[in-house]
Amino acid sequence: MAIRKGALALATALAAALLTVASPHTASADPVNIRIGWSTMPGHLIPVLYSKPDILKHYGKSYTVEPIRFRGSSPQITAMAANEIDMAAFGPLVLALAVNNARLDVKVVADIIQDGVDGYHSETFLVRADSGIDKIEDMKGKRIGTNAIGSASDTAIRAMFRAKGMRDKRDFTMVEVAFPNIPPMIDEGKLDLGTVLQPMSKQLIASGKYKVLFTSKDAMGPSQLVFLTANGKFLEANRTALMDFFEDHVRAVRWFTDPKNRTEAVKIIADFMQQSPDTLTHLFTKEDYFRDPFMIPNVKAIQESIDIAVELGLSPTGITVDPNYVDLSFVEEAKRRIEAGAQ
Amino acid sequence: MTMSHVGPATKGAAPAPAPRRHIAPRTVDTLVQVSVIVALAAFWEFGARFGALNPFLLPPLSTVLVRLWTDLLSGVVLVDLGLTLYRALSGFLIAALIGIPLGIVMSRSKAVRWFFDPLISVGFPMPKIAFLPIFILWFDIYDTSKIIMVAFSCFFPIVAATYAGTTALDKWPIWSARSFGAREHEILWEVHLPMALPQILTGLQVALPVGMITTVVTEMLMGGRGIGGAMITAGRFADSVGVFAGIVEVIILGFVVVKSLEYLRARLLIWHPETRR
Repeated sequence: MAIRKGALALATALAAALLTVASPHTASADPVNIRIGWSTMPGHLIPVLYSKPDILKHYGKSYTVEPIRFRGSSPQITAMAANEIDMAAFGPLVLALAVNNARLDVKVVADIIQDGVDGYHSETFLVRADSGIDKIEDMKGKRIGTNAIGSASDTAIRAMFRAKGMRDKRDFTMVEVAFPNIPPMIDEGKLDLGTVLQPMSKQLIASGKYKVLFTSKDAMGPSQLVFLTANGKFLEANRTALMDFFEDHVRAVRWFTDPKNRTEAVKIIADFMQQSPDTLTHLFTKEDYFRDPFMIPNVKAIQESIDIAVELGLSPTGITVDPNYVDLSFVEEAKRRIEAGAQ
Repeated sequence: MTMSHVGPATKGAAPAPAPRRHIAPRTVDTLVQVSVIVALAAFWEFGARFGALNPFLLPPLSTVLVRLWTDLLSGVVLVDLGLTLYRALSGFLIAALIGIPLGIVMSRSKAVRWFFDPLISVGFPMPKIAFLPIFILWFDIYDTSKIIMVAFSCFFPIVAATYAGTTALDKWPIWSARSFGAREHEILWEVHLPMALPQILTGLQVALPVGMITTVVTEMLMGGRGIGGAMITAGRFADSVGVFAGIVEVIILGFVVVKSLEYLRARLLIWHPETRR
């Protein structure tokens, strides 16, 4: 009897131990929450990509997404260093600063938008048509609106001016202004030049009151304007779930950019931006930024932009992006899965 | 101070105890204050050095001080400090020049008080920085809007303190002055203002740090030169050492400016019991 009791106690203890060991597996079955930084709509698309459940195979099962808005790409460095976000929308200079200054373990994982590629849109920097500003040198002593100092468009401005031997604070003043406020401030004469995004850029130029002083392509050449980066440790810790995420992510971008879905896609974006779809006629046309069909970033362009930034003194040192700060395995796996599913 | 013992009890008894040295209370205060700052600095330095925090989020104090020294030698800091100080003091002086007379007039004229009292009551608790976008639109992004923003922030504590100081005065000295045949303007200069001066100076002492804070925040939001502008640029370029160097500069500048006003108060109130204590 005593032996039977002992065996029962042992069995109970073993069962309890097994349950305890099994419980973390139950916990790990919870979807991974991915906190993604973004700054501009409709350019980055991030906050709307996960709003259509029927195109996402794994959402809510292996991952969920929490988009977090920032003023530009540079403020996301601090957020990533403080472990507030897992992925960020970085520009090339911001990537170099994140690695060199903030010592972040960060990898380029996907494309977001490319500038001036193959006849697609390039970011415009506008002045009033009647301002008398016709060339960069005319900007001496003037005021420039930038969305965030150090951001992708800010880098293009600084690169353009440095190429002409002009520097912030010495030759002109840069002030941080949210993208939507830049056109009214130029109109009011409070700014002389500013970054104007689509669709506003197209509308303002068409009005005849504004003109393009230069584009990002003039400053940097065709470039990988913004790309998705991720914390290296986060990638390693959640590789399986992130494979699912990227499959859905790429699938969603392809759905949004597919001409068959354009009307519905524009409506989703317009609803998010609380604008009329009529104001977004440029979306997913040649007047919009280029997006790679499988979200594969142009690593060579990122490297070239960083080299330019170092040459111009915007970053004290450069980085070798490939292979140290790139992990394309996720988008490549996404491409493989999507292509396999299409057959 | 030496202790002397007198009386028969001490005669031929044990030798008198050695004289005890007392440290002046003021020295103790200073020592305590300095040791708090030293402890905080040591905690910062060693906390950062031994990896308690990501060095990007909190760089070691020594690294920050080296940067400060480098910037000081290059002259960059002096230009930024000078500009920030110029903006802060200009706005503060404008606020004082308007706020002190207005507070006095409010205490002496019902019509002026009726007009301004509700405006000041509503404006005092308001976050003044919310007006910055409007000031940018009205006065551009250069010095004018920054100085007006500082003046606007400093105005309310100054006018409120002056009004309170000149209203709640002891009536006896005023009646005495009147009975000696003093005229109203003489009573104002010789009785009202000296009696209200401690409170007016308190208002100025409250307003000055407000002005410093407003200056740095407006510089951060509007860019350009100045400590705030330099800090935001450093932050955007992930240069956290530059940001902390800016914080140390602001602390030093604020300390010097506030202590200067304290010194001025002690000089102006040399007759007052608070200075004699």
